[in-house]
Amino acid sequence: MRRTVPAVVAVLVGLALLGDLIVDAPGINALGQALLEGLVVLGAFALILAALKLLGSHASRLAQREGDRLGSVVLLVALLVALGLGIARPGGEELQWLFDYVYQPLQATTAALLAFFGIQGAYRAFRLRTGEAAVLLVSALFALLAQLPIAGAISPILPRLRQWMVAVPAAAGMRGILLGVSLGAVVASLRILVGIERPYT
Amino acid sequence: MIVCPGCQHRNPEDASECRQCGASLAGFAYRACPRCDALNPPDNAFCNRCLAPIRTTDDALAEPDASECVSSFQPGADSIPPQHPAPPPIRPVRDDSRSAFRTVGRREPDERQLDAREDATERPASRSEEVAARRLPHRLVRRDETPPREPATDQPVKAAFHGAPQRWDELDLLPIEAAIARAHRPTYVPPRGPTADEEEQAAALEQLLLGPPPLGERRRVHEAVREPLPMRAVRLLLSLLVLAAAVLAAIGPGGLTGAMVPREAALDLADSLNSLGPDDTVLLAFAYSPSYSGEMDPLADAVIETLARRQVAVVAVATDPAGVALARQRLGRVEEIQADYAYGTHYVVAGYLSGYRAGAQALCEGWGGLEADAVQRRPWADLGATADLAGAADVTRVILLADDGATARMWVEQLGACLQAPVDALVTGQLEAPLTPYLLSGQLAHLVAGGVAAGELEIALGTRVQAAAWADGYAALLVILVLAAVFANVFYISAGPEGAE
Repeated sequence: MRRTVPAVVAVLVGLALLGDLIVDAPGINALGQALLEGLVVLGAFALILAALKLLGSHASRLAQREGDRLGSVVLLVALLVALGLGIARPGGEELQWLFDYVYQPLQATTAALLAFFGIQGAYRAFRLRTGEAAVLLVSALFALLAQLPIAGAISPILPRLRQWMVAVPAAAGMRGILLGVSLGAVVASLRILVGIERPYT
Repeated sequence: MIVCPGCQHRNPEDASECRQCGASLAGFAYRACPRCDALNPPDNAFCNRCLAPIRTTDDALAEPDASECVSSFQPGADSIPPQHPAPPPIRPVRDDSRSAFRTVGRREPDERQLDAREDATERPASRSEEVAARRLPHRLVRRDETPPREPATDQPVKAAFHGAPQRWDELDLLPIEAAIARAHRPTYVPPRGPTADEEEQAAALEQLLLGPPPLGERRRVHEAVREPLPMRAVRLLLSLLVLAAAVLAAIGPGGLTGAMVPREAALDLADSLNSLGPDDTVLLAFAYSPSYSGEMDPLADAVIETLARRQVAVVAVATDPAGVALARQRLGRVEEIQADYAYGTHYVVAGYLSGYRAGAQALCEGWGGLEADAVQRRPWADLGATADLAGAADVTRVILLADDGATARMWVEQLGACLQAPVDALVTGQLEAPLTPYLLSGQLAHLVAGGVAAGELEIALGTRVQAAAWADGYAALLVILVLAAVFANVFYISAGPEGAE
């Protein structure tokens, strides 16, 4: 019973959403829309649950005086402040200030470190140890050269060659990947629809 | 016959020295069978090959005498040691469970031999006799003979033969001398304790299974192997050069900006945006995280400035949790530049579409379940930008700002179909190749990717120059990468394949 009921619900919901996508009938479309809205609400509750779990986990760590307590304190304070501001003044300037001057600079700074990691990785990957490494080196330098804003000024062929590389070889590879991903998604969906795969149990 | 360990000469059983070389036979290792000449261990009473008695004199081979065999048995000093503790001394017993005569080898013993055996059971046995008796073919007795005086049980016999409580019929062996059977038995290996390595491995496994997680505060710290000083110096130099390139991009003169030539993708998008007017409404999707704001913000600013300049209504939605704040930030800055482009009248931040695919799919009906905007909390009908629209499906164009391939594909595949509006994608540089098939198939109207394209778009649209000023920095980065390639290969070649790692 505990395994049958979730499977039946999943299969019925899946068939209803599939019908909503394929069939243009008012009843089925309304059902599909209602299910989608229910999924959104479910996602919101899952978010609340995750926040409560995070809160409880770090509060417990603090109470038991274990782990990185400073990090837990910072996390709890930030969570409660953002939550309080969001509930008290949704769309207020305070939240926007936090985003503009705390959240975004931190994220951008972290991402900016990628430039340093990238150059260190290039320093290692550009060694001509094998033929593949030579191909990597040549293609990387060419792509960077063609990507330059002044590539067109250097030679009008460079932008066209770069465009050809993106549109033909790279696009061919990406099409193959997309086809594989799509076929995999179809198979995974069918397995869930017929009840073979039960990730919800 | 005793085999001389020096010259392999066969000597009689009573010889103490080799008759050929004169060497002492005290430590002989083999006794040769007088019948088949097979080599046997010195404590064997019968040949392992032909089962003939081997500890008798050559003369007695034809008619072996059991009493002589018992008395003359003197194994060598270095005879094969017993593999088990010596069993308690016993007396030979009869085995009535067998047939009257159990043949040993292929010949039957005569009556004398059996009588001698019987005599040996009737008188007290000395220590040497008891040991030798354990090796006698005591099962070669008549079934109808008189039972022994002592009530014999099967247990001591079993213990005497094998040192273990087993029965003959369980051993799959011939019911003859234990010495014969012993030669075929596997060597007993006494149990040993775990070695130090095994103890360490067991402790490591226990730590892995039951110990704290490796990411905890008690994790092991693995020290990285330090590179040679020149290589570390080059790494430091490269990092400093990257920093210098960033500074150059930020505050440099922008000398290469004038040499920038916008590519076709940027020119096409600029033409498309410049064709929009006040009657059009653009759905601007913020689907990138602040991590990529350095690359995406110039793209967003160029587009928003153009739309504001052309008084195009904008409805901003977000499928990234930080998208609402990003939308407010970028649209708010444009409002500072162009004062007549106001919130509510010209642009609206609708909000965050939670639920990922389900939330985005809900945008095909109305405003995706959003009852009011995210800033002023006013219903859609009260806002000038959305007053004439029933929902997102009424917009004339969708412009996607994305940094994630899955999200971009979701917008193109799902929302592009239901919103019935052309979709333009402004994405990070890494998404250009994954989204190119959609551009070639017509599912995407325009595709502009990366910070360089942002500079080109600024030039093509004639908006404020931000990314275009980074041309010097991009050129510097290329130079640094070339330097990295050169340095890496110089060290690699000079150090050799082994040392370059």
